[in-house]
Amino acid sequence: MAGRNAMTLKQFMLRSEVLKLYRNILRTVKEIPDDYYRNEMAKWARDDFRKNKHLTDEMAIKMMISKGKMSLKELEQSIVHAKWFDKNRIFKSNISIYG
Amino acid sequence: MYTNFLFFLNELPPFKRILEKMAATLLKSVRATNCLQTVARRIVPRASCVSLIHCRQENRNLHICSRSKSLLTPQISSLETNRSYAGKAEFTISDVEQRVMLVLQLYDKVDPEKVTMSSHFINDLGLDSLDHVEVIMAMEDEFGFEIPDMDAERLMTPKDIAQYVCDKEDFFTP
Repeated sequence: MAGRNAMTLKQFMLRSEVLKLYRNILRTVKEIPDDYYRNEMAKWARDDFRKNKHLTDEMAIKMMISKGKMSLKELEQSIVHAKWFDKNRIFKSNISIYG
Repeated sequence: MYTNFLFFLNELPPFKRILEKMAATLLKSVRATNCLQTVARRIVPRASCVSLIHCRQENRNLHICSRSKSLLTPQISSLETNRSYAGKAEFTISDVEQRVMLVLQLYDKVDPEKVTMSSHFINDLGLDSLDHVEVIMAMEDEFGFEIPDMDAERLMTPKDIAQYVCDKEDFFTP
């Protein structure tokens, strides 16, 4: 905490990048339709970020940020797929033969 | 039959011309009536049919018009126009403060007894910036509106959050 004031501009920018990514991931995780998986993904994201909290090397932090962004994109796509399948499933059950 | 009659007339010389004239006029009239008959037989039914059809169509049109007219007339005399507007529930700043405190106390990394209105998240409660992000997300869930990043990084105490929420939602602050 004491060293926070001595942060350089670059460190400050990186930190805000990380926090922005964390916020976006948490917002996307909230949209997961399934209850159990939503909690699981939230826990996973939280643990991943805390695990790498101690990193100080600029290149390592940048690598982690880009990996996180890729994971976020995959998560968004899988949510879109899941929602599409959900919609189709509901439609199919409406036209079942046995009523 | 008429030609036989004419031949018979030719045999009687005194009445010949008179009878001839009579026969001629009779023939003409008969022919005329024949013509009239044929005309009547052919044309009158057609004309009558056509006129009938026209009449029927007119009747149909009239019927359709009458039906649609009744549909077109608005039947809202029985309905009364009710207007209702949605409004937000009225909160005061103390309600908002209570809700903020409740959310913080439910957060697992925070000691419920140590939380006060002016306890700083990072300095007093020992949270780090990731925890701060989580707390702000919880506040977004609680109050139902998104807090942008620039505003979120300034909000460091529950009092700040309560004041911000009240400003955003235009609650009445007595």
